[in-house]
Amino acid sequence: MDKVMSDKKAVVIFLLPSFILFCAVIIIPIFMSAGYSLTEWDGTRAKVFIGLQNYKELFSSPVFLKSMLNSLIIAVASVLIQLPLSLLLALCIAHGVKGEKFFITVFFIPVILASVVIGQLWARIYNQNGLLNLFLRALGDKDAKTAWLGGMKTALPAVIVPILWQYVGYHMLLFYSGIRSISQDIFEAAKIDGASFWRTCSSITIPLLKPIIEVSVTFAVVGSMKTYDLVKVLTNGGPASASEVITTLLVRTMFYPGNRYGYGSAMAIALIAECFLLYLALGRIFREKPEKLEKPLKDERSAA
Amino acid sequence: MKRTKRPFLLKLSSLTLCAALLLTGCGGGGASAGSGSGNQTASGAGGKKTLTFWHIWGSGDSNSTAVAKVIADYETLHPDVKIEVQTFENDAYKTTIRTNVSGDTAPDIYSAWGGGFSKPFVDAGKVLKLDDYLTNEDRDKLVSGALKNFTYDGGVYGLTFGMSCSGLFCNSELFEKYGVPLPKTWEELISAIDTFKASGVIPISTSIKERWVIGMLFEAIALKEAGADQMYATLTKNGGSFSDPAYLDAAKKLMQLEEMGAFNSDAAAISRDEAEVPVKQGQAAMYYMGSWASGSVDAEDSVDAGKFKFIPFPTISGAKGLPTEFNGGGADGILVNAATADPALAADFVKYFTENLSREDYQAGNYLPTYKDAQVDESKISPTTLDIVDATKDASDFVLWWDTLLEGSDVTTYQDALDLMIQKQLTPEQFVEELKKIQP
Repeated sequence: MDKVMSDKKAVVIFLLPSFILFCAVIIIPIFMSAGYSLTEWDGTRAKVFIGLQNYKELFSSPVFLKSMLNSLIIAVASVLIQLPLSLLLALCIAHGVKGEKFFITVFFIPVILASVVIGQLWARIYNQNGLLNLFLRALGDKDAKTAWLGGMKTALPAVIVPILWQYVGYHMLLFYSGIRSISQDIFEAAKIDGASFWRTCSSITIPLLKPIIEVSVTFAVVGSMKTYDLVKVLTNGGPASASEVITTLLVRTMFYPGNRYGYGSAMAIALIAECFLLYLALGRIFREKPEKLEKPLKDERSAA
Repeated sequence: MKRTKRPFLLKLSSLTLCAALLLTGCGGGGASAGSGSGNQTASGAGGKKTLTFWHIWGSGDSNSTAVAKVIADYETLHPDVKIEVQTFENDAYKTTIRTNVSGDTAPDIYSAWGGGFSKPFVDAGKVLKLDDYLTNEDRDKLVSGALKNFTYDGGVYGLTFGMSCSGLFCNSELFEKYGVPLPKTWEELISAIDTFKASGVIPISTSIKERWVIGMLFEAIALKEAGADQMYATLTKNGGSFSDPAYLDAAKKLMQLEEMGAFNSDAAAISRDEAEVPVKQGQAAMYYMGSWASGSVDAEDSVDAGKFKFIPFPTISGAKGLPTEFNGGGADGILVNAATADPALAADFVKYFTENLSREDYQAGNYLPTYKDAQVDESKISPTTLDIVDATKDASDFVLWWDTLLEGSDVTTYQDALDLMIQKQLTPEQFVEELKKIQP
């Protein structure tokens, strides 16, 4: 193996195919989009170079800013609601709940389902005579007839719930396998020392899970920025862009009916830049966070 | 020596086997794709001419059987011509065809939409002008207005095989039950809405989530306010203007309907399909939709099938729009690539295709015909379709849907503004200001 790695020629030859492929499908198109984003172009007629005009329009467009804000709200909700929930489930399952496999399967089902199916499912739940309104009627609100996906105030929260729900199982599985890979000796030692469930979680499991949590947070944030399918199915960004995200806006601006390839490319570049910046920022936050010195377990025992 | 040779032979033979499988696999796929003949180029070696044709009516589309039949008929009539068809899904096709036309990789013939959709193609010189191939006899066969949306700068660039128009589908069962006359004027419409609303019937079922559905209703009001000439001139940027008070009045009237509760309360949350459900269940009195809905309101699962009346949108007193003016027209058509090897042959095919498909589609209830004197069995046509034909037989003019007649970026401007107004984020005055941003 060392022999192969030291042979520069072999390294180059073996890496070349995937490097070419990577350039052809990712790097080159990004640079092409960056080029298009400086033009006014409808996809058919001649491109007109207009410099940074598209970006100026972009950042003064209330719809774009609104969609950017919505994407960020989804990202924050993912980190603050979805991940803690996943972590809690993973902790419960990994720390001796009967029927581990069963619960893992159940929570993982939404991840396997196609987003379109989930969208249709939740559209029925939010229907005027859907599950949610029937539930509210059963609770006593006889006139519960809200069209959840159609209200300016309710549409975004109504879209966020299934987005979070869909990937709870995914993050739970990441956490679960992370917990499983922690040596059992540590848990046993904690048990002998008399640590409670919560104490074990907060002092052992969660600190040791840090790398996995970092991965999950990155996935959740970048994934939220790229959300498209559920929003498309549930509200299509409506009503009046109340639940618009960057991707839904991009598609209708760039392709049908907008047909503005130049402006749409600027939007795509902005999205790429935003994802990349968030990724860098997250890396920074995780690196700079000082390692918390855990209180020795002794304290708890003497307190007890 | 022997020991190394055998695995080598084994590898070689398995490689050959793989290759053979791959090759036959490809061959099988190619044959089943239906190309068959080896003459891929126009006027190829075997004396057989080939035309490539892309369209959106693949299997599963209500139009697919009729399209396939007409193409097969043409091939039977012209044994020396081979039509090589490729089909696409509607939404994806809008991007696909654009990319291919601009990259000069479009087929000889392709389906497209009139108005703003094909205008960039024509402007870029990518579409064959058909005037030289259309005889006066050909033109006489067409119903008036059939060429309107494919005419650019006085030249005809495409032929259409069907028209559609929007109108008010009224459930006559409900109208009779509550003693409401079919509305002919705006005032009658308002009082009908009041009556239905008081009786717990949805007055007008619509979708706001799918922007073109509510847009269709706004455009109908605007047409009655502005009149066809003014509206067409404004949308084609040919003299008209959104400063005309008609558009502000139309916006106010749409908001009047919204505020009086004329629409289903979940309109912003549901798609067009879902908006059609109460219509078919006899819970909605009116449905403002394109003529293509005649099939579904008369379908077996519609409780009041056969009792729907199609009427033009009510007129507004003092406004310019006539009852004989409709929204819609011939928007689905066929274009010929300017770079085709045999323009005469392609034009001949397009003429045959549109004329025959016009008849087939009329018979099937998909579209209203664009060719006169179509020989069809009227007893097999749905009653509502016949009603539509009757309502439009004296039509004086058609103005195409705004989202087709306007060009892409203008469509977004219009639909975004309409969406905001319906959600009360813009006043009708602000909405019209937005419309004025559509550069003349």
